[in-house]
Amino acid sequence: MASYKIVPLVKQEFLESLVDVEDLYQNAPCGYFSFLPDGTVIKLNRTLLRWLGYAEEEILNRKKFSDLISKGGIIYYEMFYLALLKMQGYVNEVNYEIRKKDGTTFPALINSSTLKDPSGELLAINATVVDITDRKKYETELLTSARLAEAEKKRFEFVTDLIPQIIWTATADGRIDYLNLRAYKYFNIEKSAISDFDVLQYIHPDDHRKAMSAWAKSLKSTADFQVQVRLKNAAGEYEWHLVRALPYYDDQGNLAKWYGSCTNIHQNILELQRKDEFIQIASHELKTPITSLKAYNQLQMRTESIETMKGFAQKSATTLNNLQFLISSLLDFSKISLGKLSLDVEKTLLSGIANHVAELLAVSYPSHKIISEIPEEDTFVMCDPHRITQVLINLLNNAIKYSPKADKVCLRLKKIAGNCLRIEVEDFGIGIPKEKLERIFDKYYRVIETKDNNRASGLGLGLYIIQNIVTKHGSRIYAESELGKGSLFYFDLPIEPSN
Amino acid sequence: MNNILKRNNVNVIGNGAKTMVLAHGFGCDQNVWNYIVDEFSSDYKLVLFDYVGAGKSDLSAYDSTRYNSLDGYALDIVEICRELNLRDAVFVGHSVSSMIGLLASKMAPEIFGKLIFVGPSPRYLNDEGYVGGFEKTDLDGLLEMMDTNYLGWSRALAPQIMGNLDRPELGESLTNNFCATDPKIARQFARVTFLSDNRADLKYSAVPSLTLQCSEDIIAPLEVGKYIQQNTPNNSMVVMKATGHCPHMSAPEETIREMKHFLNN
Repeated sequence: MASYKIVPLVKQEFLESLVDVEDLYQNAPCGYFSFLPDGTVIKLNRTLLRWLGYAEEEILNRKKFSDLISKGGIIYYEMFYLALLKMQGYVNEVNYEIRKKDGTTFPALINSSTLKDPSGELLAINATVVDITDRKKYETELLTSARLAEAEKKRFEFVTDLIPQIIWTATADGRIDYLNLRAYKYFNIEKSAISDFDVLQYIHPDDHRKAMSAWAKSLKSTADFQVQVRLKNAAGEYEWHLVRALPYYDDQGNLAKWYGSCTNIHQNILELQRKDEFIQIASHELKTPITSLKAYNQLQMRTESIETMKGFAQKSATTLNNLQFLISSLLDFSKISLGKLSLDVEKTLLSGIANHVAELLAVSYPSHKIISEIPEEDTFVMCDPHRITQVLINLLNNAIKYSPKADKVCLRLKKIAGNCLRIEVEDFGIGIPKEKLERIFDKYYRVIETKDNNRASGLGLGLYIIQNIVTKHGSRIYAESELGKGSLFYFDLPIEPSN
Repeated sequence: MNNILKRNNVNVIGNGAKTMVLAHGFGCDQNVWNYIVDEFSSDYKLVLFDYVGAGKSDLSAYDSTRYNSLDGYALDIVEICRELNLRDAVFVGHSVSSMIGLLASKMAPEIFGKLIFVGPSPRYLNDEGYVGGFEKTDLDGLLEMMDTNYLGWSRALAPQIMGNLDRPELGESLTNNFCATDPKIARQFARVTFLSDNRADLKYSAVPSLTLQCSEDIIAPLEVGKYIQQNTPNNSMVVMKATGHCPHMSAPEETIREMKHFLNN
């Protein structure tokens, strides 16, 4: 260690004359006092006197230390302070509320040390008093703001926990430091695991690059972050999410945090995928009859025989009917999508429609007997007869199509409670699995994946369209089914008085 | 070492034929007896210990249910004495330990032949027709002082401001570390002590007892000493010249003299 000598600049006596010990004692910026082991104050400086508001003669040899503190302070003094003093010889930095003459108090830090005689007996205690009113005030403010911030954080967490989306925050440099309750549930992780939460583990491997490069780009440019990725849920399945984040700037304009959300868009994405698939199927469905028509047309041109020509014309007519049906289904579908499906409602004799449909289908499908159970009396309902005809044809068509091994289907009209007419179509075919039953009325939904069926139902639109038609009538089609036994479809319409 | 002896950091010193058990009060540990043990160590085997939570006791043995009343502490004493096979011993208890000793003696009458109470109080809070010296609010004031001062005042606040409300571990160097007691335990001990009421237990005291009453003791005022003397069978009270609440520390000679006077007569 380097040692160096201090060259005296002035004489020692002069240095000593600089310090007036008594003045230092009396006017120090802290209080000094001394007291006997029984607490009696025997000496104190002017500063402390001024703080306390006593005249010297009011306190010297008259007041005890315990007179200057609260009762809780006295217990503390007797139980802790004195024992410590006795054993350590000093006690530092103990906070007492000091009581002034006028009864008010101020917080002070007291340091004390003992004065003992050579035999070790305690003669007196010297104490230093530092007024910490300001310090306490600032600290209280600090504590208050710390608590406020904590409360604010809790409020934020409460609100974000309410939201059905995943909410997250990240530090300015991109480390995720908060997830809401929804996130913990979605990812199935413990709250305590946030410190080593690795989001990459939960992003579909095929989306890693996309997500990370977008995030890196946003971090660099502080531009809004947005990306669509698949996130792994608690069951280990990936669901599409729209992940967004915005930079949050503090009042100094520094980037303080990123606030982000993940919205589950899985259904929307699936919907889009189904739509794409639908367009593909629809194109195929449209192409098949056109190819047939082209072929019939070519054959017609080549043949000389009127009979053969007629035969092809007949086949073309059937194909054209199919095509027309297909296109009208597509038109219905687009009307429904645009909310433009309209009805021409009139008072209709429903038994008439039912009989007509039964006859029509009997001709088309000689394979199945159509058993109609229709009440004899005339029953009228308010409906669009063309649309209800479409519904019945569709239901019977399905009934026949999905019961290839059966030889009959039933069409029933019956009065039920509430003055309604129930229309039922029952088959004895393959049935619909329970888990699929509730989705059969969804658009694009096909119970059996078939693509080479040139019917509208091949598009997965049939039930969707007729459900919409019935809904437009203020009713709803219900389906019951048992696998291997058959299915029952029914809907109700209110009966109109006959006159 | 045996679990109980380790739990309460039991130290046995001296080699007399008779035994004296010394129980420290609320606030410190067995070191408070340092000023008087030498005087008795030739005539007595002295049993010193720390309550669970104080001094070098086993903090992990703290059970907030067991120690939620003075009975739990009394049971500690009974267990220690049984472990050491004590009979007819002298019990010396400071402050709240006076009543703890009384309770222990009630639980196991064979253990103690004489009881010495230093600054005892059967109830610290005032009650109808009874002056204990304190109100409930005074206890709150004490608890607040304990909270702000246990690590030295300046260290108590930082963790709160930093939002880390868990107390730092003890064993970190403390400003005033001599009577280092786990703060949570000390808090409960303070509550149990100052909310205790053992007035109804006094009449069960079956052995001769001595109350050493200090002059000007704010914690255990003279009225309280008199109350004990009047309600405890076979109790004598000596009002000492010593002031304050800890005569065994502030006036060891006088304390020793009065103890010997009681024990030898």
